[in-house]
Amino acid sequence: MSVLKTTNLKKHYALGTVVKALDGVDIAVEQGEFVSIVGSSGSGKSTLLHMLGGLDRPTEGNVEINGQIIFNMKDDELTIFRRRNIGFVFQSYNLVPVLNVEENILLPIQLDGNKPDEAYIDRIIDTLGLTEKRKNMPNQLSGGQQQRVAIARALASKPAIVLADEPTGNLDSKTGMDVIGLLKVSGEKFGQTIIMITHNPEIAQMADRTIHIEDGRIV
Amino acid sequence: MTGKKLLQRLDEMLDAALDGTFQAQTYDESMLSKIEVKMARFLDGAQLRREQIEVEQGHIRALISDISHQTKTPIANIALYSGLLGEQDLTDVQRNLMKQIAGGAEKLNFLIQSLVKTSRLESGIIKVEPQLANISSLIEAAVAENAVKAEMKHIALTVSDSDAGICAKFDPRWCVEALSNIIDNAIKYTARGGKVTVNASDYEMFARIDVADNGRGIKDTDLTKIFGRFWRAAESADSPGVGIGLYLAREIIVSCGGFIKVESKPGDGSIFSVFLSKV
Repeated sequence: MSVLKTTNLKKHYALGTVVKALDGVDIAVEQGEFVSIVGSSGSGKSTLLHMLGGLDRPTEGNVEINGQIIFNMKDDELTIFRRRNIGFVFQSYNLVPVLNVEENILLPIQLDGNKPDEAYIDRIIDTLGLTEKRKNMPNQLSGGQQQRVAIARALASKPAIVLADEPTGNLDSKTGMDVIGLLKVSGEKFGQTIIMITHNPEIAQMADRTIHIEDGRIV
Repeated sequence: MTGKKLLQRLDEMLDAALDGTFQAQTYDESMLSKIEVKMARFLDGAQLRREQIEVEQGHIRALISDISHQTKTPIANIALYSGLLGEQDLTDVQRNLMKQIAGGAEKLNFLIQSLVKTSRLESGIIKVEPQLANISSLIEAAVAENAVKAEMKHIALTVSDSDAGICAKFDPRWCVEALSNIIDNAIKYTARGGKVTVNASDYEMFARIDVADNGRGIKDTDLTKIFGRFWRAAESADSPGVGIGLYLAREIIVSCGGFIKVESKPGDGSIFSVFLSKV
C-alpha cells in the first residue's frame, strides 16, 4: 500500500515569466520504503519536499498521505496533521538549545499531549547510539551526534513518513555516511517510511530506491 | 459521566489496549459499558489471530526441517551413484549424460541448502547473535573460503592494508557466510585474471568492509533488484548460481543491525560495502 502519493503536482511562480518549480510530478512511496530524491540545485527537489511535508501549497495537483488528501485541509488542520504524521529532519538539526537530548526527542510527543512509549523511545535512543548522551545539551554534541538526535526525534512519534531535507549537508562525508547508515538501520528496524532529499550521489545510494528530478520533472 | 471524563476514560482504555492490559471495568446499561465489552472482544480476537499465526509458523518450521531431512539421502544417493557410474567404462554419450546428472544433483543440493538456510533465518529458527568482536577474523574466514575459487579463475583475491583492530557487532558464523557470499559473487562476475580486493575502514557508528572487483559491473536499473530472492541479471543466465547468495547476505547483515550498499559502473566493476553496527 502506498503511504504517500502525489498526482500531477505542480508549483508555478509568476516572476514576470512563469517559473515552473514543479511541473507535474507523480510519485508513490510504499510503506517501509527508504527513497532518496536527487537533483541538482534548482531542480525542484526542495519545492517537492515542502509539498510532501505540507509546508507549502501546490499550484495544481495534490498529495495523499495515508489515504488523506492533505491540501483539502484548512491551514490549522494541516498543521496538526503534519505534527502527527510527518517527522522532519533538517540540514541544520533544529534542536532546542536549552533542552537536553532526551527532552528534545520527547518534545513533539509532549506537544501533542501524549504519554511517550518509553520502551520504544529507549530502543530508538539505543539504536542511534545516544544512550550515554541522554542528558547532554545539544552544544556538547558533534554535528553528527546532533543529527542523530534529530533523527531520534523524528522517529519518536511513529510518524507515517520521515522527511529528511539534505540531512548530511552540514556534515563531512564520513560522518554523513554514519548518520544516514543509522537512519537506514532504524527505518528498517522500526518499519519507518523515509524520504530523503540529497544532492550527494553516494548518500543517495544508501536508499532502497532513487528518484531523479530535473527541471521540476521526474526523469 | 461528563464528556471530558468520558473522553479521558476512552484515552485510558486505548493506552491499556496498547500495553495489552485492557479489561472491561464498567458493567451497567451505559453506552460506555457496551463499548468496553466490544473492545475487549475485539482485542481477544486479535490475540487469537496472533496465536493462530504462531501455530502456523510452527508448522512451517517443522515442514522446513522435514524437507531438509528427507531430501538429504536421495540427493546424496544421486551424487554417489552417478560418481560410481563415472568409474565404469562408458561411451562418450553415456559419460556426458552422467555428467549432466552429477551437475544437476550438485545444483539441487546447493539450492536446497540455501533455501533451508534462508527459511530458517526468515522464520526465526536460527537467531543471529551479534556480539562485539574484531572484524579481521571475519574477513580472514570469508576470504579463506573463497581462496580456491579465486585461484582457479586466476583472480587476485587480496585483503588490502586496513585498520587493524576494528570491532563491530556481528554473528561470527552467519556473517562469515554473508561476506563469503559477497566475495563469491564478486569472483563469479569478474573475468579470469581480474582482481577482488577486500578492505576495512572505521566509522564512528559502523565498521565498513568493502569488497571491490573489476568485473562486469551492474546496470543502474538492476542495483535495487540484485538482493531480491532468485533474481539474476539477464546477462548472467550462462553463469552458475540460483540467485540466493546476495539475498541471504542481505538478510543476515540486516538482522545483525547493519546494511549493505552497492556502487557499480557497468564495465568497470562493483564495490559492495558491508556496514556493521558498533553499538
